[in-house]
Amino acid sequence: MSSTEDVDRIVANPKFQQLVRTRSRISWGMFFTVTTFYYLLMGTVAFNPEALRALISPDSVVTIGWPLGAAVIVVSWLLTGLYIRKANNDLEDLNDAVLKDLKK
Amino acid sequence: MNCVTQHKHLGLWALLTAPLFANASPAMEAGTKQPLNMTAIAMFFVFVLSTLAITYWAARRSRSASSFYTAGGGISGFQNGLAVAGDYMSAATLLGITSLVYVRGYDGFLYAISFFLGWPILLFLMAERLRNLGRFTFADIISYRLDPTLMRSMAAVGGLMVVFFYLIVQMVGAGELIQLLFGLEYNVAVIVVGVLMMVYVTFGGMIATTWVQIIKASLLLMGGTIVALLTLSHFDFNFGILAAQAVSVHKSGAKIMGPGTLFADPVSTLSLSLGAVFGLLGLPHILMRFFTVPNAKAARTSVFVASGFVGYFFLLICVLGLGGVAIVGTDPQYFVDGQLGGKLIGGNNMVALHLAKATGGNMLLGFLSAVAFATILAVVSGLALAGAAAVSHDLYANVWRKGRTTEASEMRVSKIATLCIGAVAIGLGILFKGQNIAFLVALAFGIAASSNFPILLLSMYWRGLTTRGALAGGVAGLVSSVGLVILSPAVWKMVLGNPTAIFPYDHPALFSMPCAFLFAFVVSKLDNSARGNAERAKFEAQFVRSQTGLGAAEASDH
Repeated sequence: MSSTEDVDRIVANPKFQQLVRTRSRISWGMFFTVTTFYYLLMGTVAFNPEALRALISPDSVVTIGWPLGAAVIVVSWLLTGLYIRKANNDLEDLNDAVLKDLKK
Repeated sequence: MNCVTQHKHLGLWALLTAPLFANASPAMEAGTKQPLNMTAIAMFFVFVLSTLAITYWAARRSRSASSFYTAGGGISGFQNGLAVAGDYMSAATLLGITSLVYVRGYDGFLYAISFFLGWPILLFLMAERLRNLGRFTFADIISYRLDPTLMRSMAAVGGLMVVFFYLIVQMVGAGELIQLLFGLEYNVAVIVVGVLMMVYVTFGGMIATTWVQIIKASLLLMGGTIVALLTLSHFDFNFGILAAQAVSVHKSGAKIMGPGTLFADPVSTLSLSLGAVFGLLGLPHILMRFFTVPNAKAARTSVFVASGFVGYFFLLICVLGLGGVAIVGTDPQYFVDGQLGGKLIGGNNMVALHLAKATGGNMLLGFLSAVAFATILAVVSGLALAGAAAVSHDLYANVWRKGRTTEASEMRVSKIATLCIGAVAIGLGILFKGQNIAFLVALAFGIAASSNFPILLLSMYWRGLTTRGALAGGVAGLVSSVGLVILSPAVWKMVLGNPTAIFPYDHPALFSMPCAFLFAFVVSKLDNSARGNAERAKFEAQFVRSQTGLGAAEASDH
């Protein structure tokens, strides 16, 4: 358990404020990107399904719905990769700096 | 045909399990038991013996509460990622979604996408805060600054309900699947699964449960990959050729390539997707896994790994579904009385297994059957452990004994709880034999998304949440989700036999989740008690810990 004094010192540390700001910008940004992409797809399914029945090429039976659906999975997974790259490097360094400042 | 109507009325929720029973039981009652598959039985015995050996090894390392509940925080990010993905990839996912794609094409794919999406969101909103704030159960986080007795009781009730509904579904599925695959009596199969689960969990705790899950997830991914590759090899490894073949033989033709009727209703679709996405963020056995890693960094890595495997597996399943249409759908030997386009032997959920046989012979069928059995064992073990932790850590140690207990007695209670959960699961599994239990999946996800998730999220993110608000919100979410499922077509019409359902949708989340948030918000806002103010004042310290990990439970078992 950390003391109240420690908590106050951390909250006042500009590095901590920067950590919180950056992390929340990244995580909410990615949250909205992923959900927007997904709900655009589901919205199209519900309101304009014809659009997803268009074929990827005239001699194929595959509709554009398939690559778009696969893209929702693949893109959101790549975003998780991007997130942990950011969080496990830059943000982790910042986090360590905040904790180190506390020991001063 | 049976499957199509079943899915239309109650199938949306069914990702994890429902399709399995929805179709398997009538087919089995028709007496289409498979001949004994010796390969399957041999491979299953190898799996059971090796996992029991692991349990024996783990038992000697599971002496402390921390090693029992969370493997001492000594699981790496990659291992945990594989294990947590394993918790989500049940036998029913493999068999159920494959059959959904087989019957409905693109709609099945959309279904898989919806149940995938919770993973990235789990990472963005929760993973690191979970690890930094929690120790053994997700109730640790809710009770961090709120009243521990009330919050733990509520979280334990919500958690246990999810665990039990899910367990019943798994047990019934296990009985039916094993009866079909191995020719074992239903009741015997349920008892075998229940007893093995008790052995893994009571002796091996989280260490054994995690390794069982890791092995099974690897086998499942391997089996799925082999079947998919063999399938694609029939079509020059070209998805377009596979799709063209599927379209030319499916009775709906080119329609299976685009959106069909499953997601045509916007309200129903939205409610399903909210439950699927946010239900994941309230499943106790999934949340618990974030306490098995040493730090927030490993927690994040595990979601990245898990998302990758789950996403890959779901994409694989769609190939299997179309492969089923193109290969199984054109081979009379897989149909009852050899009638193409008639009923599949063993029901539509057998598509994945028929495909394994068609592409890899009896050997591959045996392998995939053994993997399906192993999968059920691993999933029920994770559930039982989460349930036991809620009983012993939350209810016994913290609510009843107010934290004044020894680690040894808490562990004894958790082992007794595991045995009781196992016994109840066996009993309920036998009791619910042949029943239509698709609604239980709706209940589990509904409660997870509408009671566990909102309170967990608010407790981590919103300073203003007080005990009164959390209690009001959690109870509102619980009551509304259970109530709406009872009034839904799946229960009101199909189970209780009323002519029309009072609530027209199968999934409650669109209504019950906002209900929980609303009650939690309004009641917290109105709470001017001294306790409420003290709880708000404690947010700062919790926030700092959730962000930096300062003072978080350290890994103790390196």
